[in-house]
Amino acid sequence: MEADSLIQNPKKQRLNEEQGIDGNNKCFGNLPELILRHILSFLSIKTAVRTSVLSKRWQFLWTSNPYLNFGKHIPGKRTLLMNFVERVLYLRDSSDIKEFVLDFDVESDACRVKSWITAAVRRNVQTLSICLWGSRGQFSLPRCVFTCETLTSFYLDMRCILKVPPIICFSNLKVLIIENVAFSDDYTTQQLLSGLPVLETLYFENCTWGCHKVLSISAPKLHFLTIVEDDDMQNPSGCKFMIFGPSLKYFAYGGKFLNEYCLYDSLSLECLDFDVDCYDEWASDGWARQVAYRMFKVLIATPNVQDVRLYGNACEVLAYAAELLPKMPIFNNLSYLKLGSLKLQCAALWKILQNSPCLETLKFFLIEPISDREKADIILDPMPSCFLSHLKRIKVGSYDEENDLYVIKILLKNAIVLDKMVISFEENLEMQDAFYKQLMKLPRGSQNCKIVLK
Amino acid sequence: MSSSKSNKIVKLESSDNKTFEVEEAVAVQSETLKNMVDDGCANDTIPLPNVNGKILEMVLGWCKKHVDETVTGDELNKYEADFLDLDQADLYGLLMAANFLNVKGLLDRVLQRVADMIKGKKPEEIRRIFNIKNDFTPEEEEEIRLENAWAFD
Repeated sequence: MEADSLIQNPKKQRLNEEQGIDGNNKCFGNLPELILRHILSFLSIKTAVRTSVLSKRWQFLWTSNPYLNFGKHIPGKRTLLMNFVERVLYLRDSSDIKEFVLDFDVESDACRVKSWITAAVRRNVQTLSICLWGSRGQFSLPRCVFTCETLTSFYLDMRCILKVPPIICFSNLKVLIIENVAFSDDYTTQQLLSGLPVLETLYFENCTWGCHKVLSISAPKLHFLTIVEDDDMQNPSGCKFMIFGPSLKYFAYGGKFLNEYCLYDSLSLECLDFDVDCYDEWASDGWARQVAYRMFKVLIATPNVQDVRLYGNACEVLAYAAELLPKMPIFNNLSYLKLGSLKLQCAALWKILQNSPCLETLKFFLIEPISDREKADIILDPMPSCFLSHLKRIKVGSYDEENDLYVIKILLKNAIVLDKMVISFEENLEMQDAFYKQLMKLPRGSQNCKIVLK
Repeated sequence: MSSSKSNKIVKLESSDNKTFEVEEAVAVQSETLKNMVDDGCANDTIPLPNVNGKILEMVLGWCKKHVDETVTGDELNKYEADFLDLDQADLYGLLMAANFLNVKGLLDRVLQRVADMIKGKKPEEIRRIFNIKNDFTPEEEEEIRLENAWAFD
């Protein structure tokens, strides 16, 4: 028998399903139903349901599949999807649903969509991901979502007012991601932000906070907090967020600081990421100064930070409130600084460098153009101490040879313990060669330093 | 259950009369064997009439690797990936053994491997792997495809 001869063959053969040796395949045909269902539970619901066409025995084996991920919305397939979701939910057995992922245009079917979500919650769903639109702001989530004790990850994207019920119990929720939601004006919003006892990751994007003036986020196990505010859709004075994060390791903010963020008890914060865009035309109406103050408030609360990323023109923003610079904290643990662009003529950047005695790595995507007049602004005295003792690695993107060489020259000359400078220069080989030759001619403060051109 | 590390040896005999001796800590990776040990039935050689020697050796190898504290996470991942690179006969034998012996993690990995065999395959191919006889008429099959149109698109 072929099966026996294969067992005696010491070489392991690659799995080759196309072989179709009857002796082999008979064995998988004998599997009990429980095992077949278990196998199907590893597949996406779409793949699992496709097995219903294999034979009468297989027609309903998929019904214990716990991963109801209906994927991204596909235009033109709305009715097909609706029929499929309902068929799956009706025919499913009573086993738990581990994951329910829906991306759907609600139109006038709010009631039906609510019942699908309720079905998932009743089956002890752990990961719930709902992206809904087209409800003209009318959709309300079923209340049972907010008391779902099995929920560990909740992702919600819904351009609606979120009506949070008075009773909330997210006793197992570890990840909460909310996008495009308008939080209501009443006390339930605060109730939600205080009812996250085991939450580790919190992400808000483009959420509005109604008329709230003060909100506090109190999540004792929170490690990662990200807030993104894309548009100017806030109430003018914004909301003050008091964030109590004794376990907070990472705080990222992107936007114009339309709201204020006060971090308390966050001395364990390791990484700070700001992506702030503030334009010159704002400097006159005091808006820019407010952004500077708000950014500074976060910096003051996190002096132990190890890793700082500043994108957009975050550095320049700080400089709009020049009186703050002398109060910049000393970042004794800051070893990694990443910038969107390096603007050596920016006083705030120099202050940060001077206050980071242990900085080891400096990375930036490009170098800002520097006029001859601005060259005088570069503060070389006193040289930041990290240049003399700790700065080992510099990684830079270069796009304008003439402008950039000036800045690179300053860095190479003064970073006297530099191990390596990596420059990515996206031009043809001929120009790369010429650039490299110029680089090699520059005087180096650190004799052992390697220069690498990518 | 006693928490002290006993150096007891557990003896196992496969269906083809091969004997294996392993430390108790290795053997109890199998819930089935663990229950026998706890119930005091593991003093003599335990016969395993539905697991042949080759498969039993593989399973015990898996158990040993998972008890070894010197193995890193990455090494273990690589070991598990290579372990499952088997022909269908061995995979089937491993599946039945892992199910019977209830070895933590092994059954899931084997079933996941079998599930991977289904992904992206046409019904005919899946029928061949699992030796499924198609007992639908073409009309019945068409009806199922229509009822589940979203999945068959």
